Amino acid sequence: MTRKRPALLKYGMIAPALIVILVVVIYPLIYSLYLSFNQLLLTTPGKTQMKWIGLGNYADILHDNLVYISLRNTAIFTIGSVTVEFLLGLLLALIVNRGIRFQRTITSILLMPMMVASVAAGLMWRYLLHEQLGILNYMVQAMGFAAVNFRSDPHLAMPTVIACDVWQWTPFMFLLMLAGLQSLPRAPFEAATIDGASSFQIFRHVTLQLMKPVILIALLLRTIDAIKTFDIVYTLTRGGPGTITEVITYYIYRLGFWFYNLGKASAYSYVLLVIISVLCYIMIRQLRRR
Amino acid sequence: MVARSHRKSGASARSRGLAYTILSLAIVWVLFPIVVMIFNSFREVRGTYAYDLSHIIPTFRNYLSLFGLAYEESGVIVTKYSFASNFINSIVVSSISTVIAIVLGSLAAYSLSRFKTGGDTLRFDILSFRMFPPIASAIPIFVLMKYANLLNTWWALVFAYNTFNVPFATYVLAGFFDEVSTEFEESAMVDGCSRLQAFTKVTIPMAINGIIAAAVLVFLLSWNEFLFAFLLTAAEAATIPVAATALITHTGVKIGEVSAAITVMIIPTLIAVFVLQKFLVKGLTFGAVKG
Repeated sequence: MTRKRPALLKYGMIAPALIVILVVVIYPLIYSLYLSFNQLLLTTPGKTQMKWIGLGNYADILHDNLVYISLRNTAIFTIGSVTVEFLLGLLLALIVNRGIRFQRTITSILLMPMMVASVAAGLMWRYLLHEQLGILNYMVQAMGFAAVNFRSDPHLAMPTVIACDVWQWTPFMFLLMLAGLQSLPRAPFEAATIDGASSFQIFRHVTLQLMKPVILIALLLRTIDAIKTFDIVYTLTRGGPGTITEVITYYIYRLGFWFYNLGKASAYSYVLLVIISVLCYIMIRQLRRR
Repeated sequence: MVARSHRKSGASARSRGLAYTILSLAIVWVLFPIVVMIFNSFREVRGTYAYDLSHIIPTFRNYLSLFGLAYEESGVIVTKYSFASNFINSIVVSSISTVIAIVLGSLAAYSLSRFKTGGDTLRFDILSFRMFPPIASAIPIFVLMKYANLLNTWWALVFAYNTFNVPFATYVLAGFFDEVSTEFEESAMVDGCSRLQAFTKVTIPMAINGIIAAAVLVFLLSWNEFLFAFLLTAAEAATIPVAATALITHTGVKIGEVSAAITVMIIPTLIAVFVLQKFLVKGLTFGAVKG
């Protein structure tokens, strides 16, 4: 294009969005960094006491057993749910990609959970699995077994939260995998078929190889979102029983809004921010390569 | 599509049967919680809560009660939920957020797409804001809103929802504008249009489907949002997700009303899936797949 680009328009059009991002994202984060160096308690209603304590909140992290517990729970939850979601999503995408009847309708049905509010997913599952009111326990009891406490049994609580996440987010993996499969070039498959490769060999050496970049980005996207999970933990288990499903976001929420220790909560949220930023950096490097 | 042709010859009837079995199980798994919930929202709760079909009385009472329209025989309102106002809060907050995000987002996206402002770096920086953990923003925003006396108002949520909506809309719309050929704009400008006129009269109409899809997605992001709404609002300004979760804690187990509330909450999203299927890939995968 030889036309002169008016700089005013170029920067004028992007400025409003950048100013809003500056005000609603950057400024609160800087403010949060300032809060994290203070003891800010809201325990007395209507009164806020702010006291500079330097790195005090950060020093607390080192002695706080619950940080390690909640980070470990977050890791279990994230690895468990993302792995299952990826495998199921890939399986379904391979099936649909082969060509099925009613492809559009079936795809739409399979995508439904990811558009539903995560609060709705959590509440639906809460009542599905409810000890007295849930249809699952109704069936279990009708078959003559004792009711199962899915949400309060220490061995079942985490698998239950993971199952709910799998229900909601497998569709996202399915969507990405299907889009990935549909955009693959044709030639490598034809070449492999001519060379007499079996279906499994084609899948392993051609499909998976070509899909690698999409798979990597999908795993990173889901991992970042799974680490941020709050809604389904809140609606299903509230971190319980004990601290078995207390993930890091839920712990930060409790620090800030149960104990009204907002300085400490800010410091802890910076730990989360660092973890997410590292993953986000890796993901964006991947996206830029494409 | 690609894999179809080379697999079809080798695909035995048995493997096709297995494929359809897996698909059927997946469809049942997806639909079961939704169907049970819709079913629960239309049934009368009396005595023990059995799923025995012969004991089930279909009713609209849960919905009426939720919106404060259920009366006892004496003419007294049974329950006084504020669900009607929660519904209005959700509509108002989501709509305002959507308008802000789409207006700011399309301007910024045009600049990113056509002038390559800041190159790829700025575009991905904007995307990275979408990845931020909301709890990290929610704490300082809570304190700021408290000082500004804006807690428990629409404005607290409109402020907070910009944190994810504006980056999301900008990034997605930039992708849509990339796909609109520049030829038409250029010929419009040769004919004497200014750049801005070319944008409003040529680019926007050509990208309108993408813009509408982005608007629906932004609306649903706000409509479904829970954490900010939960921390920044209580009764008066609470949105549907907050109200639905509050039904558990304050009133014991009101399974009928909760189910009705969730049904109201998810209906727009379920419709959107069917209408927008084509755009979901472009809108939600952040360019992971280049088609």
